[in-house]
Amino acid sequence: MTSLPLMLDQLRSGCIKGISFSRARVTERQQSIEISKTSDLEACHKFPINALCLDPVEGRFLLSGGIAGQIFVHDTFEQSEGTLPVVAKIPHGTRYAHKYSVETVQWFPADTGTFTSSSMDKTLKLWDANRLKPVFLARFNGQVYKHHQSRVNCNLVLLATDESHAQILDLNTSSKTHMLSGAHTGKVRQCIWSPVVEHLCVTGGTDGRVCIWDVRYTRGHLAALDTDHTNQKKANHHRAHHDRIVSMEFSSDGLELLTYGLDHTVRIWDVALAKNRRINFGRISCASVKGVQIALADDGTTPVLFVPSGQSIRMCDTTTGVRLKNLRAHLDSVSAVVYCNHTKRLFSAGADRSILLWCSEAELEEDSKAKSEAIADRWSDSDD
Amino acid sequence: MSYNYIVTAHKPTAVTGCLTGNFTTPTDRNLIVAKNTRLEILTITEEGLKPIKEVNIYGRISVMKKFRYPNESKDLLFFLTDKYNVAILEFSAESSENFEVITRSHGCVSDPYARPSEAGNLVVVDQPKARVIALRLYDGLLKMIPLNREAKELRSYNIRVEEAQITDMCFLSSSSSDPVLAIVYEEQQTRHMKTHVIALRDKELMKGPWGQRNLDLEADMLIPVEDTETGVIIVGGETIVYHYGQDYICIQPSFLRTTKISCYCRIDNNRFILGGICGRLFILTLRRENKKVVSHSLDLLGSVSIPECLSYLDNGVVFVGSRLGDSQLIRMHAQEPFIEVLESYTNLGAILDMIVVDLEKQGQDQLITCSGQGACGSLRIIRNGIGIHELACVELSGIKGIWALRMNTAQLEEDTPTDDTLVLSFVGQTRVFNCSSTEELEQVTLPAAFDIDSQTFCARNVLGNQVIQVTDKRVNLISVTSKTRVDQWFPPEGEIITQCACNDVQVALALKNVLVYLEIRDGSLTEIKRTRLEYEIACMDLNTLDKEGDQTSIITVGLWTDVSILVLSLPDLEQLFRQELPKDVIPRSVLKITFEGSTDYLLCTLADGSLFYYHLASTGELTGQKRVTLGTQPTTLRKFRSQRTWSVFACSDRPTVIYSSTSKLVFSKVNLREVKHMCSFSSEAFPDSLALASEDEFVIGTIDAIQKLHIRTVPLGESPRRIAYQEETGTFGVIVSRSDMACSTRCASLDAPNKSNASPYAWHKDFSSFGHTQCADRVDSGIPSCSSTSLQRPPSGCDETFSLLIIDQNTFEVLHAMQFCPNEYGVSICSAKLGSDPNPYYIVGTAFINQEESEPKVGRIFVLRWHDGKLETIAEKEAAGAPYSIREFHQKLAIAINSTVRLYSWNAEKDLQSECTPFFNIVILHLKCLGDYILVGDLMRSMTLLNYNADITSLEEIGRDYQTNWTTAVEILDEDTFLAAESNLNLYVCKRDPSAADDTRQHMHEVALYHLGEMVNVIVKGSLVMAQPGDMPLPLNKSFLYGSLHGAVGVIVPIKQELYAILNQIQTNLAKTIKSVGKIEHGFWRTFLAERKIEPATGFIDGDLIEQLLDLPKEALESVSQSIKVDEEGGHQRNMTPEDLVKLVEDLTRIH
Repeated sequence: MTSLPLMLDQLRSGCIKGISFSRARVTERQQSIEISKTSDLEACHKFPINALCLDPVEGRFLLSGGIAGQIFVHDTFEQSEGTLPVVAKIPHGTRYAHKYSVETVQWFPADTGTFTSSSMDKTLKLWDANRLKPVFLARFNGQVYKHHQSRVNCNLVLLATDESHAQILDLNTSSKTHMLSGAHTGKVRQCIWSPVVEHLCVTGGTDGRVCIWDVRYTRGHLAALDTDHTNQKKANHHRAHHDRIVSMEFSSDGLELLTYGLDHTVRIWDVALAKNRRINFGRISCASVKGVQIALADDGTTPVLFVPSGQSIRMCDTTTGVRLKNLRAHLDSVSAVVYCNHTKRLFSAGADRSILLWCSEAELEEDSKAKSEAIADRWSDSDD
Repeated sequence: MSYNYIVTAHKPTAVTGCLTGNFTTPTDRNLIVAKNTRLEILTITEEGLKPIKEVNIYGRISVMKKFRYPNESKDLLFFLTDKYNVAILEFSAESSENFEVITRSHGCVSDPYARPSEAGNLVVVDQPKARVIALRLYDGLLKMIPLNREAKELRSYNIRVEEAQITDMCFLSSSSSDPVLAIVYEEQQTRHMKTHVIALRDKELMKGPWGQRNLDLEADMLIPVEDTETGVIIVGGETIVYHYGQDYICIQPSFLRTTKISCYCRIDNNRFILGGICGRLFILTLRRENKKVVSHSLDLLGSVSIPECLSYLDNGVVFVGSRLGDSQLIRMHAQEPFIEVLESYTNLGAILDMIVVDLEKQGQDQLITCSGQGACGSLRIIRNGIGIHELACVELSGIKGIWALRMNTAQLEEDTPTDDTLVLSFVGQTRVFNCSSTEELEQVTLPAAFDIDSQTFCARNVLGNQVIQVTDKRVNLISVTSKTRVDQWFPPEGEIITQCACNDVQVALALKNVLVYLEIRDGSLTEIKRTRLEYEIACMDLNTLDKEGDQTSIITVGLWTDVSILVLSLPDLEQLFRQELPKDVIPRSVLKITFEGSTDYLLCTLADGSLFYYHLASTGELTGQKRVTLGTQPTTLRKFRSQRTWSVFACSDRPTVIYSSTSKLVFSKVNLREVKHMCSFSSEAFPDSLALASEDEFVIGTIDAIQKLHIRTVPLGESPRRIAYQEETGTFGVIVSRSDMACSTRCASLDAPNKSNASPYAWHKDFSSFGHTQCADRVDSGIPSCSSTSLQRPPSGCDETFSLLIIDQNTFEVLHAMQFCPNEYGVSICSAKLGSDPNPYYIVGTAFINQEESEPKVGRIFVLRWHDGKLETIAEKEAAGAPYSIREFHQKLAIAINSTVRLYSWNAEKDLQSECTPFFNIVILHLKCLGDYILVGDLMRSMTLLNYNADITSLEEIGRDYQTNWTTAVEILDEDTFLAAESNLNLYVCKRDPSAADDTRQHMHEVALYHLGEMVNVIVKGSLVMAQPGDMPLPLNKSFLYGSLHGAVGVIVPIKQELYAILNQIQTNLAKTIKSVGKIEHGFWRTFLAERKIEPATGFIDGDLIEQLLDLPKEALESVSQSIKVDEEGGHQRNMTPEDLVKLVEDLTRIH
């Protein structure tokens, strides 16, 4: 670890580049991440929380969706008395809210004008974020376990609807354009678009298979990931995990895919070569049968992975698989984590109905001092 | 919104890359030097390096490579910019003087989502077949650019490579049909080497012929060896391995452990020069038997500037490009000393800190920068204009003219005769001073042959050892040997001579409107021709041009009444050309001169201080009129010689030196208040001097080297980090550091001779006792301070020692040095007056570095007083972190300590007392104060504005930019706008909206964005030019200067919206008109680009582009000026004419 004054000198004299400097400082902050003792998010959820999403533009607004169909938005910049306030709410049981559990929420990838949510009530809703009304609703045959809106082509939504195929919905024409079928023997419950390549997406099923698709390619999937990739004989036998897939995440350059399975393992895959990178993360016990949200922070020197594991969040170095930290604060199982690339903070939510804020220690220590002094000041003021 | 004009005053000088090759012609050898955004093309001649072209690139040159297509006779240049533009350039020689840069092909190879490699960009070209260029820009991807001679666009494709962390790569010469790429890569903290075959048709990587696992842990350089066997040299931290597939040879030279090799260049197949980061050159020699390498060795050559890149030119001459010191041209010798420095090129590079001071109290600010690192560390004093160093001064008023003469007969035969006599003319009389050998000026009487009772118009040595003197009444021709008058010429009865001009053989006289032309022969003056002009003559010129020898065939005359310049032929005085002057002010002085040996100019000044200049054709025709305002008073032009080139001295209330650089006229102010007359003068006592006369005194002095910005270097031999100026004591406080490991222990074992020329103080004065004894003293004397035990940290590999130097403002002599404890880093300094205490103090902040901590936990704040040649520690306070910035604020100190801003006041016991509740952020690096405001620049969280409430002594946050920006410098532009530079080389301005509703007031919005392409380390308020009354187009009192890593100094001036609107249109039109090298769009180059943010530039006008308008031909100007409207009085709009444009831009160039 290089001390900040030394590193600043190196930056100022051009011995290291700006990008190396900021990555090293981010890594240093990530490694000292802890539950924030000074800031918290306004409590609003009365039911367990399933999904989180931070707005991609500024990293300011946090969407959260829960088991009773409720959706809330927090403003993570505004702080009154150390609490990040709720700025929008769709409580359960209201007119527009989902009837059953909201499984996924996602901001429109380009701005904060709209967001999408999908639910066990077999619908996907596109919301106007300002009026908090759905402007579009799509119904499906199965429960929507996961949906994902492509960053490259924002109009395409990929859905995992608890069937043996995944579907693609085009928001432009409001029509279901594709069925990605023939690859899974179980039910597709996870799906994700490549963040870089327009036509590339990945599906994960209860059969432990992870399949890579090119949506232009009509004759099935491109590849099914295989743990040992020695098993060349039958592509149908390729398995990425020995149990169902509970979460998938791309690295932001789209070169690597992380999968998390109910077999309590996390694997990293080279997408282009469809190859296991063979990084051993050890056993990360997975409690959720449905699906969780993992987060990858790749703005540091080495990418760091946050995986919900029971009541704790496991923090791992993705180049070595080494466990860096175990973040414990939730009182029930954790269902989702999101990392903010802008403010370098982490948000997590779970069955204990709370959203927690995690940030770097140094800031924290000072914050608490500030607060205590501020309180002391208020006291003395009132004495006068 | 915020509107700003930004322009480079001093271009980047740090060398980031260099190449040699036959670029311009198949036979000429060229050196191409990259200096951040500039390419300099030089030709290697027997006399040395000859610059032939300078090219600006819209991008920072990240890598450049030369290559050659098979069957072509010239090398081409491939470059890659930081924003991933690529281009192939050809340099074609139209003539031996004029070179054209042709973009053969271009493209962009960026992948917006890919992860840029921290190891930097690597580029290799497949040679000699030139099939493909391989680039490693992003982790996990190899990018291939297939080469095609005909293709205009460079397209690329990616190949996934499993080795994510490649540290270096090269192509191997191989017989196989596909190119073989060798890479060194890191995998789980070990380094390996591998080869890949690039299957060009399938666009795939195939397994290569060989590899080597487990190399040296710091192996990071591959040198391909062109050979019968495919060999490669792998340079590591401890070993140098020659590997040829089947086997390898390894050496472990002892000095490798003491330095890290950073660059190399090839002499031939068997010899390579390696450069180490501590500024040492080594030679690596391969020894062969039967064309097979059997052994190799590394030898030390000697010390140079810290090299960034090396190029072998020829005949043992090497160009050492340096980023942290002056670049050098060196010659290698077979015997000791192995290295001889032939030439050194000034580099302000790595400006870590700078201040603006007005040392001479003339309203002319100077810039003092902390430049360079290690042995190249120095202070640089940068001043606009040219300095005159006074050697002698006489009080004399009423001087009307001044000339130097050679009257000493003894030296007439010498090759380089020196002047010995100065002729001063007054109204009605002429006086003469002798200054031949003694240093005293002594008034002498001239031989009776001279006319001393009338005002002299001209006196000079002419043909055949004669002297000519022109007074208002007559012309005398005097022989130097006999000191007698040999001939005379009188004007007709009742008329007097009003003007005169002469050269060695010709004399022109004006009698009101009559022009008389005389020729000087040996012993006689002959009137050749006389003509009557329409109006009275105001000024004349008979100076010869370079190509004409000592006699000119053209005379130029300025006329009263119709205000024009006439060009007449000699000897028949026929009018060749007539040029009307566009102003109703009479011309006061005309001058013909040849600049840079090729271009003839005619300069003409008017009585209002403005100057017109024209190109002068041999037919006498004047073209390309341009206008510059020099001063406000009548201006006289004089030609003088300095450093083998002719320049022009414009005598006025703002004396200026006019010279030409890269075929552009440059106007440099002289640091004198006023000059009425001048002549160049060279005597034994005052060699190469100028004699200058002002209203009431007469000065002899020498002149600085002629260049626009004058830079003086004060070598320190250590790295200067921070600087502060204390006006009251006339001293600078400079925090310096020296790397003990690199400089003393490591390199002392190698050689010591170069140390003597580093710094007089660093090696002659032993100050190692200062800091420690002082610490000990203070503990003994029981003054409450941080206990020494808490500060005693185990040595932790921090190998730098910091000291504070007190430097005299005039002599730049180190008066005192105070060394800090080991592991104690000096991070900030300021000079301040505290509370009611009248004494000025230096406040120094230090931090204790511990390798285990990412942020320092302990620091110290010293209050020091420089008094009577002693540095006294008045107070010392422990801080809970590193005091990154200290500012004087309301007679208190505002100090940023790690994540807090604290205020300290100075109490009666002379101690610092913490006051006011601190404010918190992540890590606060920068503070700037204005009124009650404190602007906070954070490591990561952009800027925050604090307001100080004096009544309840509290700091309150009143504005914050919520974006993530890694600031490197911040500045307050005014109460509501704030400028910051960030680590991705962008600038941005945040604006506060004081009128907004309370809940949104705290959000500051980014209103101006700009990609500068320079790492800005410091922004200060100030200006490089003297504020001139009235006619400045931009408010200089609100000008700001920035200093960058690559040694660039720039000016930022906030401008009004109306001017911005016009300039923005000009900028848009210019960007369309001016073809960019590499076909990179100007808009693309200036687009704000950070890790997660791409925004088009706004709120900034690129002055570097705007100033290129002055070089455009007239047709291009027409097209630029189209559709640009200006408001006129009365609310009308009219189109801007090209002349308006030129005038506007010429005015803008005067801000730097």
